[in-house]
Amino acid sequence: MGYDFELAGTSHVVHPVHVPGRGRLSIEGRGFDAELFPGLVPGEHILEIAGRQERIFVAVRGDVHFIHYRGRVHRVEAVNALERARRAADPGGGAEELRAPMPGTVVEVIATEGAEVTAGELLMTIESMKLQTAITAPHDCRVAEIPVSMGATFDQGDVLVRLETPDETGDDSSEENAEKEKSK
Amino acid sequence: MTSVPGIEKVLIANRGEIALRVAQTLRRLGIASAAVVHAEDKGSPAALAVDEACAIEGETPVAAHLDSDQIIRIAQEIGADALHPGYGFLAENAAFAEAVEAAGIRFIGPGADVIRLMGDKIESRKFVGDAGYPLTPSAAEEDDPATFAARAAEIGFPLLIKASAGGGGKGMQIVHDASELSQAIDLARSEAERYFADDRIYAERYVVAPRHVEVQIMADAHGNVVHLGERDCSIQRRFQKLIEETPAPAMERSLRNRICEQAVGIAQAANYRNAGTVEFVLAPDGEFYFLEMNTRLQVEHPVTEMVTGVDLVEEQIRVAAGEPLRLSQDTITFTGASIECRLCAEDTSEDFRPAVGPLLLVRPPEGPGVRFDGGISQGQDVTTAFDPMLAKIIVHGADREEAIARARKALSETVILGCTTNGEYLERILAHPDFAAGRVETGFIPGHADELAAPGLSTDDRDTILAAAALSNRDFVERVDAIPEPQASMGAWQN
Repeated sequence: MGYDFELAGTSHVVHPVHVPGRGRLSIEGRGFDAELFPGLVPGEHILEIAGRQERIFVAVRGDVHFIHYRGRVHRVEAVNALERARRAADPGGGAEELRAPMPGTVVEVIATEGAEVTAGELLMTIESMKLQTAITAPHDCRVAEIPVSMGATFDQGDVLVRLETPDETGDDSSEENAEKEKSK
Repeated sequence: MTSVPGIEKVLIANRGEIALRVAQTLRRLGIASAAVVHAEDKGSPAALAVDEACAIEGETPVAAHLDSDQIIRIAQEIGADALHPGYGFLAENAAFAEAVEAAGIRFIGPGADVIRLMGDKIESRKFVGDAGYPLTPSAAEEDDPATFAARAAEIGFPLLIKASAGGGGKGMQIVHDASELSQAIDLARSEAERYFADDRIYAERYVVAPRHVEVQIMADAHGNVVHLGERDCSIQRRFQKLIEETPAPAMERSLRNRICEQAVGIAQAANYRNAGTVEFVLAPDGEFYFLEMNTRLQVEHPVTEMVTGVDLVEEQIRVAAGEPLRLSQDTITFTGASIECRLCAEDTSEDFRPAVGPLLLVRPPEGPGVRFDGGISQGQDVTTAFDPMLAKIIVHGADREEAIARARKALSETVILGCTTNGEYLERILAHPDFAAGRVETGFIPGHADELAAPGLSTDDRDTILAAAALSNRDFVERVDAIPEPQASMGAWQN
């Protein structure tokens, strides 16, 4: 079972590989000996990879990994196979996310979770760089989740509203259960 | 017992790195410190550094810091003798300075009248011009409409035709040579009428590839004025400074002396008191013109402190207490070079858009000649509630080359994870050959946009980063351990 790691907009498949006595993984099908050791100060790590030793700093928040390496910071987001399968089984329709076009704050939340909304209906007002923007429903659908609340701040790309077309609920959970069974 | 008679307690009416920086000097001087703190900043380094953190409230955090009545009331309640405004917020608000003094509290800054004069861009230019100091050559149509075109042409080309009531570039025409002049005047006049319902226009020299050079002034209440050298602040984005340095690179000593002397003259003419900065536009031909005077401590004051060894905040406090300047022009010496980089929460690849996020890991730079003025702490959430500047990295070197090397090293060793910053971008500016050669001007960033863009990743670097991410991912590591032996020996190459 592999993982997708998204780096700079590109997805890369990384597999864990267990070899007794040493760490091993494969990136895009190529195998590496790699191990991560804690460093001397918080966040610091020594990565041994392909015989090299690299000093890095790591911070993790949920599925997002921030890696400081040779003076640059990289954001790597993990998408595990479960999530990937879910996305694959969901080509375009079904679940949908309205993401923030730029960082800002939530001025007002109008829609409620579970509500059926029609195309163009106002869901939320946000403010970014002193400019208010209306977030509206792209088509007839149902509001599945509103992960932000009034007054909350968000970053560019954060999910503001999750939508779903009513028919396709329920599929997700059964699929998720099936995946869980498999991985056990 | 404090080392400044008459000043026992100072209220800092600011936040972030500048509040922390002022608090450090107060502590060194044995003066009790207090700061106004909005709930958003509770537990911030500045709030923890002062002896008293006084809560302020407001509809937004910024509104709280602009609430002069509330701040003065707090200053009275805690028995502060003086108030330090820092920069921004109320620092250049003449009515506030007046109200503070009226409440019997010393305002650590210039008098309200000078703040008012210099705060009005048109009045201050007029004042400085009348005092005989250089302004960008200009001509107003209303002075004599019949000769306007001729007077404009005398300024030389290229020139700008601007609306007197204008702003934001509206109604502004760039004229490259005489053949375009009369048409541009007509167009500017009709646009001025349309945008501002005021058809008054004027012509002004258009300085191509200008540098922003400013001079640090210190003056006391006894008529003494000194300068502490100049700073070049040409590296800007969106009219905001990003990198400042002193001495200004590639500038002859005679030019430097003239600029500094003129700044002292302007401060004297204005009967200035306390710390101030006179800003000039420097043209490539060596001509320079008064731009404005900032009546407060500047964000970039540390580079001056690095090369002079003077604590400007201490001098501000002493002057506010009525002491004569301890500095004289002959005793101020300049050693080496200093550079300041403003570390901001912003995405340089997205037109410097402000970034937000939690500061998961903060590791300031260390090493000889490195100063880190930051008001941030690990675990803090960066929001759009305040200015995006997180910290300032200031370095000192024996010469400019060493300062650049130290700044680059300090930037690459600074670790801030969780919120996007411009740290790498600043390092690329310092690494640029034109910067190293001192070829700086205010159009540097747009002019070098392509070279300053983030370089791609090598395959090795990509693999290193992906491996680091995978091996710090809990699920991934658990999966490694959970793979049964037979499958493991086959490897995962089969997919």
